[in-house]
Amino acid sequence: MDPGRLIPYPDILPAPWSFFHILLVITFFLHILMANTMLGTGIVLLVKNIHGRGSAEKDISREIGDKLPMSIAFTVNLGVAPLLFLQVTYGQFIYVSSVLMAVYWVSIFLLIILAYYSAYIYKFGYESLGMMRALPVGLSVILLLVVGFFFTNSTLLMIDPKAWPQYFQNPNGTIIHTGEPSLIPRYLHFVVSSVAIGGLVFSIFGWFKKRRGEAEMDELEKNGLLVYGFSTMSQFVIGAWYLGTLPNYIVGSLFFESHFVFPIFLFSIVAALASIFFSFGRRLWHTVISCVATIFLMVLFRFAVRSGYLDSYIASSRPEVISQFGAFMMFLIALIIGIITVIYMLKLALRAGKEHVA
Amino acid sequence: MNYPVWDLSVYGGGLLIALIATIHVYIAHFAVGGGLFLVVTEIKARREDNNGILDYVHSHTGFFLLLTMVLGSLTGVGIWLVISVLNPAATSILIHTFIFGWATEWVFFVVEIISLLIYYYTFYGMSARNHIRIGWIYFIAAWLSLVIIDGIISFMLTPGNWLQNKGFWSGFLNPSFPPSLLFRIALALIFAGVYGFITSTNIKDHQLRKDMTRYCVLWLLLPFVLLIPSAYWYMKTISSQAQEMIMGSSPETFYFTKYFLGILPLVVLGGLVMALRLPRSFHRTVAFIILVIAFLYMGAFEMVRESSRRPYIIYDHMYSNSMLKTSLPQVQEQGVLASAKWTMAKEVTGSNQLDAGKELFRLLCLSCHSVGGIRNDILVRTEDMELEEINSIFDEMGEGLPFMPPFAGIDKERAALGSYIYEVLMGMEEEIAFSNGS
Repeated sequence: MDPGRLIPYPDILPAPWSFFHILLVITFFLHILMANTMLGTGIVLLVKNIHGRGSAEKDISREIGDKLPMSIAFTVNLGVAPLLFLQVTYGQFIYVSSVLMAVYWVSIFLLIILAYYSAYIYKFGYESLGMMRALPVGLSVILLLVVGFFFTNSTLLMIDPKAWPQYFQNPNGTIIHTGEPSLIPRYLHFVVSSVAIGGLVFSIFGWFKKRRGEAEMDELEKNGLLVYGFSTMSQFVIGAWYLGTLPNYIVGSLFFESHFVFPIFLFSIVAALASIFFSFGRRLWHTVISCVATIFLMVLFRFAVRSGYLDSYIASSRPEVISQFGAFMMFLIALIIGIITVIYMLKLALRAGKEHVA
Repeated sequence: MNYPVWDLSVYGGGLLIALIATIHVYIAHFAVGGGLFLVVTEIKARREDNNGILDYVHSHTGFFLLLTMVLGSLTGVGIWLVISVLNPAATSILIHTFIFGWATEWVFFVVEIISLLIYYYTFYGMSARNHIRIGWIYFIAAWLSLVIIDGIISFMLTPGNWLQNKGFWSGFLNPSFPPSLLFRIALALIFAGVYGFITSTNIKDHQLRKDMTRYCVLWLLLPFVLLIPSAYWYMKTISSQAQEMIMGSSPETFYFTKYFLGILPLVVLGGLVMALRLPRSFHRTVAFIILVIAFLYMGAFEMVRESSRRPYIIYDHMYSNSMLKTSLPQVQEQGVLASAKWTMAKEVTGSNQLDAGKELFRLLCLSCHSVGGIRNDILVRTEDMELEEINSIFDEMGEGLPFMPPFAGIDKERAALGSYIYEVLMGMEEEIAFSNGS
């Protein structure tokens, strides 16, 4: 069966495709940064709860655990925007992959609700739970890992119409793209990157504590950076594995036909190496900056891979564009007012903190 | 016709969306009305210099945060995930037509989350003036979210001039947008009172508990002044066919209409009971009963709204089974199997009758009918029918049965679908084999 004939007709776009694509890249970058922070913090927190026995460790676990529900809230919130723009730009692909794995797709929000409430149980029941407190945070982490796996599966099904005819054998919405060799390395790439960011979050936390006079937090800053450094080193192995699983024609077109992809890839490797170098050299903020740059460049590379898979399919069905200038202005005004309002509120909140301390 | 259909079988017929949507809208309306409740009650506490009320607002904010930010937000995302697999074609239209509306709503969602977190975590740490400002910002952002969502939801029932020009504003500012918005604002305020009971009946101080419970009674009862006229106006803006369905021409819609009308006095009665001087345990029990009744009320309203839209998912534009109204004549000429992208069989032949029938059932029927489930069960609808009777339903669809889309297939497909329902779903295969054999 020609999978091309299964691709649905796209709907009319209210602005040029590239405009939404830029919004997709920006918002996805913010989302993945937050998702890495959320999951990584959860994983490191879980390890600390299992292994950390000292009172300082306990305080840290408590303070960072307090922020876990908030990080879930922002990850979800920052995930809404890229999913919107993804449905606009690649709707004819993402809706199909969602239907093919509908059971898992629908379960995503239920799993996040459970993970969210588990994180709150950890937060509000920290003292009363005692040694059992690893359970809620562990449950949160497991559920979020499952959600991450479903998103990886959806992304891979979406870009591979050749896998779509499986639907005719299984229309029940339970397709996992096991035939795709990049499924596991791609997922691991995300999970390990989360662990690295988790380490970095602990390190940043230690740095702030140290500045407030808690000298013993130097250890936390150091260990967090080591977690980051070793995790990112292992990413080179996983990354190579992932690259090796990509079809030859994709690798060929990315590295030899495009003028942009190879430099992006190269810069991302340089940025990652620099971040490892800085992390082992205990230069926290240099590590943070090079890590954020690496993630941004990796996001660009990720989109290049997607384009490599889908360009030939999209070329034959470019959607019509009928601009909605008025509606766009509404969004722009709301965005500007929204940003100003958030800055204003944060200012009030920071001032309130000082008043409270005083 | 454009997308694959998730074969839900027992769980089909809109069960999933009905469940999730009702839970979500119940909490989402509370997120709006409850936001106003918080800030207005805080102002009351500050003006009266009453720390008891202030503590109550604080504890209510904790409850509000845990409910609206986790369950409310996530079930909202859940609706989106569910509709995208139940009806991807309609979801795609909603996303593409209103992308800037959704994006605007997302901005309000960001402001809501940040303001609510600040409101809760700085409750006693921020100056009263600034804290109340944060409260207002939350409420305004939540209310603006409702405005945007209402424009898009009401569009599905009354698309208005969008049908001609496909413009954003024509769809957004559709005929039922204003009454629907007023109706939902009234509901949001009522629910603020309903949820207020849950925390107010928990207050330990006897006098404060009595005062706050009566205060919540006002929130519950006063918005009815807005609810009833806006419901009437809302009704007048929808099509005459939808009105008739609500008033009885569709048995299923009317079933929910009866509940919608019947539960209304119970909510009012519950409010009046809460105003009476009664023991705390009794008040707490009644508070939870009202919470459940109000949930059923919301559910009945949503079901009336959803089912009155039939046979469309986007009124006068796309049928419940994702077929565009404008494509119907062409599909009726070419056949469903030849027109749809996601079918193995491209035509009905002598050897694939039942397999083709299965694909036709999935494409044409599964969006509204479950197979052996609790929602719109095809086995109940066709109980005791003979094959000829089932086939005669296809003739009545769209005309005699206006809540069903017109049958879209050609004659061979009609026969294949009828045979599949009769032989496979109703299990008459053996009987036919037996009669053929004899």
